[in-house]
Amino acid sequence: MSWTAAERRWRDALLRAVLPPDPERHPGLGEVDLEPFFADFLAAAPPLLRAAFRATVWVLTWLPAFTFKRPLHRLPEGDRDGFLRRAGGSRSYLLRQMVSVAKAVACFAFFRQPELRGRVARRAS
Amino acid sequence: MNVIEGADLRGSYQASFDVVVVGSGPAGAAVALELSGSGARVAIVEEGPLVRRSELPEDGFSAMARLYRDLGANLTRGRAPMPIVQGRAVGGTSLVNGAISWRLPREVWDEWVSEDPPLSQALPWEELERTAKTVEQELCIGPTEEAVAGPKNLLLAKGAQALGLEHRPIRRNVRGCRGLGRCLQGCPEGNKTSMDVTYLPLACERGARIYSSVRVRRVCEERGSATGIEALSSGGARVQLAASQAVVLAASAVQTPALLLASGIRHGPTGEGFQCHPGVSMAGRFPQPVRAWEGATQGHEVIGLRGEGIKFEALGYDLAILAARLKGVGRELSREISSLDRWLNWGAAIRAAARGTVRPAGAKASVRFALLPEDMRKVRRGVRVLGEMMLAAGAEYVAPGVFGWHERVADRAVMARFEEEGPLDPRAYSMAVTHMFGTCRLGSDPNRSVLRPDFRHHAVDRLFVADSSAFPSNTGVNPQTAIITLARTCARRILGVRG
Repeated sequence: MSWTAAERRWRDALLRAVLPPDPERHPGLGEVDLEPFFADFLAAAPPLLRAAFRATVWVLTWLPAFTFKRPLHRLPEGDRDGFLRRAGGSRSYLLRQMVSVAKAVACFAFFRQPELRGRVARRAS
Repeated sequence: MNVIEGADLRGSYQASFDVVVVGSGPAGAAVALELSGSGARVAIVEEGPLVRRSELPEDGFSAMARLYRDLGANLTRGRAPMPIVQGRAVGGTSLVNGAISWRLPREVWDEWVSEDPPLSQALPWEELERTAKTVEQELCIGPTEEAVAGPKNLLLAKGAQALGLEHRPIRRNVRGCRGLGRCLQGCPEGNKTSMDVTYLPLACERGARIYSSVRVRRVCEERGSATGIEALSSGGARVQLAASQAVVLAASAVQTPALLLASGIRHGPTGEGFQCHPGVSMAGRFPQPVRAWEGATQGHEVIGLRGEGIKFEALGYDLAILAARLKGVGRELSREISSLDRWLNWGAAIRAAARGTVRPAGAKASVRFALLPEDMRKVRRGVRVLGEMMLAAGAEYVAPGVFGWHERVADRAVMARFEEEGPLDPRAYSMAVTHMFGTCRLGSDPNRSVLRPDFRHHAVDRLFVADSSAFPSNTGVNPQTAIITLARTCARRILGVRG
């Protein structure tokens, strides 16, 4: 089942919150067109992973509504970051796994960009 | 190579051979090499594509999408699901593994024959050793040279030395390795002696034919004898390959039992007794650049605790996987990525006692597996030692990545307490499954084994299994060389010749 336009917006906002810019170091996923990556991701991922990732997008987008009264993509950066950090350390195994899935997908998308790979790999911190 | 690409096949395709081998990884390639050398007409059927050296991707996602089964994300079922990491391309997992090469350990063979004495006659130790020596020569297996090791491997040596643990450069199947750190994406220079650049081309020179991107759906059986296979090509063709002498399954300890069961061949404990080496890793941040993506992918190992069922290895992941294993999310993750060149990952492979099951699930296989408390104690000890070695090697701090424990540890004394304080719940850890065994085990008792000691199926004539499904247990070490050794032995049994 294809993703709706709203789901795609939530997905992109989630991944950009997971991997935001680090000022003067790298731009995060903010400048990356995620559509080509997701076309390949959805073609390669097994059904369980596709379903798990979609559930991840829904849960991590809408769970903040219970505490912040707004979904993830409508939160200010600090709140977004705090929510994801707490979710990553949650007592709920499922929620922790969802953050891990989002992290893995964000890193795959980021390091698929040759320019970003080069920037991180070349840099001596 | 003589390759028929499944995408080019349409409609219905039929062909006849003496032997049909299912799977082109180390087991299938070794059987095909041996049998084609005897003059047999051999077909090798591989579910994955043929990927030429120039097409090997550099980034982790593209490599996993193209070369790994299910993006490396096929999960075990159970309380704490773990990804099962397997290659899926011509050459099988040999294309994407770390090239680590171990002979079958003598103590593992002793365990097998002590449990089932007729195996000592069927698999004589001297024959296995002779075969392993040949394999080592053919695949140029030797210790990793210091010049290509890179910091991640040399620092592991330093950490192990400080803890007084036995360690050594990993013996790998490479020739002319320049330490590009790309073993897990397929060596772009062909310096890893994986099956796609060694045994398979040689088997093809001897007349073998490879069918790539063709998924075997059924082993055909008539009146108690295997007669061939039915398959589906990626181009949609219905493929039927007849085998006049033997069908040899070499599709891995997950796919082989699933195929047998899906074919209605249900004799004995098919799909039972699944064993593996779950792996857990540790990230450590160093004060100086260590550039984990450079140097031999996996060039050093710590073997001092192998007797306890724990083995440690340096890990050379792609940037994406290295980053995904960093602690934190959001701005913290971004900051850490900015200093990715300071982070290393080392891993511990566990010889788990737990046994699971494999069942067919549609066109795929489902693995049910849960670690035992005794396995979790090994995991906990492994994490402690990984952390201590990293700190002893100079890490500023380590990030154990274990839920419910310290996020950062900079003190070896704190890390040492992990063995007592660390959780035993597998859901607190991030683990992955590699090296799978035992789902069609060899044995003399047809009620407790699937294969006879000479690799023949107990109930179906002319049907053989040559992969690590046949192993009676896991081995505690990286199994590729042992798989090839036993597969060559299987091929000789098919030929009726004792090596």
